[in-house]
Parts: sequence; C-alpha cells; structure tokens
Amino acid sequence: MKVNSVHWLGLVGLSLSAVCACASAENLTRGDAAAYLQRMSDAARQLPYEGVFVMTQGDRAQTVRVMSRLSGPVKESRLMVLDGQEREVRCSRSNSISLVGSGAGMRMERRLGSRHFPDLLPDNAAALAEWYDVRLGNMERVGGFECRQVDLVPKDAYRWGYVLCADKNTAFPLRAVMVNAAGKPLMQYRFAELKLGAPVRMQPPPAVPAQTDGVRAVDEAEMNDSPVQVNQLPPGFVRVAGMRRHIPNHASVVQHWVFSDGLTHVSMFLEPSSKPIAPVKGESPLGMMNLLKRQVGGYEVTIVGDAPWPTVESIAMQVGTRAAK
Amino acid sequence: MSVSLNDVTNELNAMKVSAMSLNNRDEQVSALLDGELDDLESRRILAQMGVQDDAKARWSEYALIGEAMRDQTYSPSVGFAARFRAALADEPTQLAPVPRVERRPAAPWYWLAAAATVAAIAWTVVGSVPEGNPGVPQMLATRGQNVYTPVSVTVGNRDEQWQTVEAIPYLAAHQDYAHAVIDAPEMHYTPVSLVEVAR
Repeated sequence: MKVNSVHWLGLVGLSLSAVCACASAENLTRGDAAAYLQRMSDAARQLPYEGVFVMTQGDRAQTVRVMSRLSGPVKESRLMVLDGQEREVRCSRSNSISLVGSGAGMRMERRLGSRHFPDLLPDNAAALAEWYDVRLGNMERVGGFECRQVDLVPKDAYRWGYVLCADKNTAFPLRAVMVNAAGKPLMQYRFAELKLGAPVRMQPPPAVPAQTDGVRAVDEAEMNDSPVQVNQLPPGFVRVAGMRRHIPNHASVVQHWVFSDGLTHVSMFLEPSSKPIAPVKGESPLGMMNLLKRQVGGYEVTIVGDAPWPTVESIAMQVGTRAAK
Repeated sequence: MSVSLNDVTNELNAMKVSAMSLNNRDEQVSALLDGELDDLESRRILAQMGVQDDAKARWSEYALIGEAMRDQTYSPSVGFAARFRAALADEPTQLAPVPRVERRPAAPWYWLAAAATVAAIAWTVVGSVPEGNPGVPQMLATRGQNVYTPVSVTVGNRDEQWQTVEAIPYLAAHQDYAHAVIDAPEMHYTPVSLVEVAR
C-alpha cells in the first residue's frame, strides 16, 4: 500500500495525540513565584519542628528523625539516622558535625555545609524565580498535613527540577523530590510524621572540635590570584566558597571552589599536575552527580556536583590558565 | 503510561515502512522530518502539500519529538516529549558533537538512525568568552537560550580503579556542600576525549 505524506503525518499526529497529556498546574508570575519560594524558605528556616522523614535515593532509603528551632537568630537542628549505622548530624548556621557510630567507637566529622531537608531552599529563595518556572499544582496530603504541590521547573539544562509540597497554612515544605529532565526522581524526601510550630527541646550540641581537618578558607582576592580561573559560569551560578584543603592520597594542598545557583552546588578542585592527565568522566547511576577531571595547563581540575552533566562539563571547559601578571 | 525506546522504535519503523514509498515530494517531507530544512522551507513544503492547517499542527507535534531527541527544552506538561526523553535516557549515551548530516537523495531511514544515536546530536550555539574582570565568572548565556555544547566523547571502558584511588576524596570533600545525611552515591568512571575546539 502506498501511503502518501498526508497519511504519514497523520500517523505521527495520531500517535502523539494518543499519548500527549497536558498538566493542569498553575504557572505563577515571576513576582508571585519569588514570593512563594521565599515563603517556603523562611518557613523551613524559622519555624520550630520535630518529626521523621524518609529519604529515598535510587534503591537506598533512610529514615531520619529531625528537630530544628531558632536559637536566637540562628537555626540549629539535629538529625538522627534511624536505619543502619548510628549517625547523627548537628547543624548550625554555617557548618555541621556528623557523629558516626556510638560509645567509644564514635567518630566526629566536621562538615562545612549545613543544608538538610526540609531547609533546602537558600536564604534568598526569591532569586530562584529567575532560573525556574514555579507552578502550583493540586492539594495533597503528606505526613498528616494538607499541602500544595509546587513544581520548580528549570528554564535551562543546567539544573535539576524539584517537585515540592508546601503546607497549606505555612508553606513549610513537607516533601521534596529532585527530578531530571525526563521527570524521573533522583532523590526524594517526605515527612512521615511532623509536629510543626511547637517548642522543640534539644540537647546542646557537642563541643565543636578545633579545625584539624586541614581546611583553610580563602578570600576573594586570593581566589582571584589563583593561576587558574573560570571564564564563564552557567546562568545563575556564582562562586559561593573557596578554601584550601588537604585531600587524602594527594601530596599537595588542593584548592576547593564551590559554585551554586542557590539550589545546585558544584565543586571545583584544583591542584598542580605532575604528569599528563587523561580526562575522566564520572556519573552516578541515576545521573544525579557528575564529575569531570581534566588538565588545564600545569594543573589538574576536577569538577564534581549534584548537577546535570551540562553544568559540570560547561564549568570544566571554561577553566583556563590566568595570564601571568 | 510509560513508553519504552522499543515502543518508540517500533512506531518509527511503522512510519518508515510508509515513508519508503514516498516520491520526490515526499523526499522533501523526509528532509523536513530529518530536520534538514529551516522553518521557512518547512512551511513552504507543508503549504505545497495543501494541508497546511492540519500539517501545521502535526509539524508542531513533530517538533516536540525533535526537541525531546535533542533535549533542548524541558516541558513537563508535554507528556509524550517527557516520556520519549525518558526512554532515550535509558539508552547508552555518547556525548559528542556530530556534524550536520549532508542532504542525501533519499533519506527516509536517517531519522531512525538519529533516534538510535540521539545523544550524539549536538546543538551548536557557543557562548563567546567576554572580556572583562579576570577571575569574575560571567554567565554563559542569557536566560532562555540554550548554549550548552557537548564536548566530551567516551573513548574507553569503565575505569573502576580510578574510583577507588582517586575519586572518593573529591566526593567526600564535595559532600560538605551536598545535603546533610546523604552519602555520596556510587559513581562510574570512563575515560573521555574533549573536542579540540573546546580546549
């Protein structure tokens, strides 16, 4: 049977219309989106809460008890992993301490970051409206609370999407799902139970150990004197941190820069290279984390982040040597 | 409803059988579907076919497939594009810019091949490096523009040794800025080649 082009196109259209579904989500204006995101961020940071959430990443799941409150102007929180090895994380304003194991075998790990669910949005969450469309979806019920689904849809290929559910009354995030461009979940958090707004009693955190892990912050001027520079960053990304640190199995001190758009974080490690470096790409099974190592002049550059591959690759390819002054 | 790549391929095969009997005019349609024509030329051909209104709608829907194949846009409201992209995501990926295919006399099969090697399709707007303050990163693009150009291509097999020897310390250090409680996931490593123009 000879099928002409009209039929051919008709076949395409028929096939598509059979499977095409359109979302009913409400698109917020940029101003409304900024206000909504900021409200969610403020609620997660300022409201006292205590509860249990489940984190799922691929085939791994963890149940975590969390409590958080403001101590003066500063948020402090405590997370206890309830599955597997005992682990507790105490977060304060700009760093956190992981307590792994128990009793005499307990070890303490200092971390420089303190992000944790449900406080995932940055302090200045309104700025995210520049890089994400925000859509309000249907009402749902999570952890016993009525909540509104909120989609953060990235406007480009440089960041993951998020599907959140915000408490109807306070906008407190009750669920957060990081999704890729195909809508496939990469990581999920969801409250199973929650007490929101009531006073939280918390044991004081253990004494913070002296900074013995070989990390030294560097300021903007020192970073700008680095022999290597990043000429361009993906839209919305800025350098948010810089430090020199010792890395296991590495003889020299490594420079560690961190870039972020507020939600997505990408690290750049920079160290002198004593031999030619063949480029290597790394990716997690679901693609949530990506890595690219390459040589730039006499330096090894390693970019790693919980970011889409275009973000990691773009940053890596924009690293260049700085002309000698 | 989930659509596997096999489903999509079968659907394309069915279309291919139809396309095999196309005459010269249909070669133009083939070119249209191959993405070898610009929009103006595409509309002219659709108009010549005398089915412009209907064809416009079809063309619009077909463009969704093209976008899904090139991953140029993300629109979760478009179910088919998202599912098509999801099916492709399960396929082995080769990240390399590929030059635009030259027009051939008859190419109804080409876009089947394109579906199989979809990740090898490049999109080509490269952000220029502005002069300015050294050390102050500039934006790659203005919002809404797609300027990402893949530059790496896999050139070898997985290298598990690299993971154990080299990568873990980087991942551990990056965890300082990842979500608390989460451990770094297992990663797979492959040697890649970076295209010369990007060096």
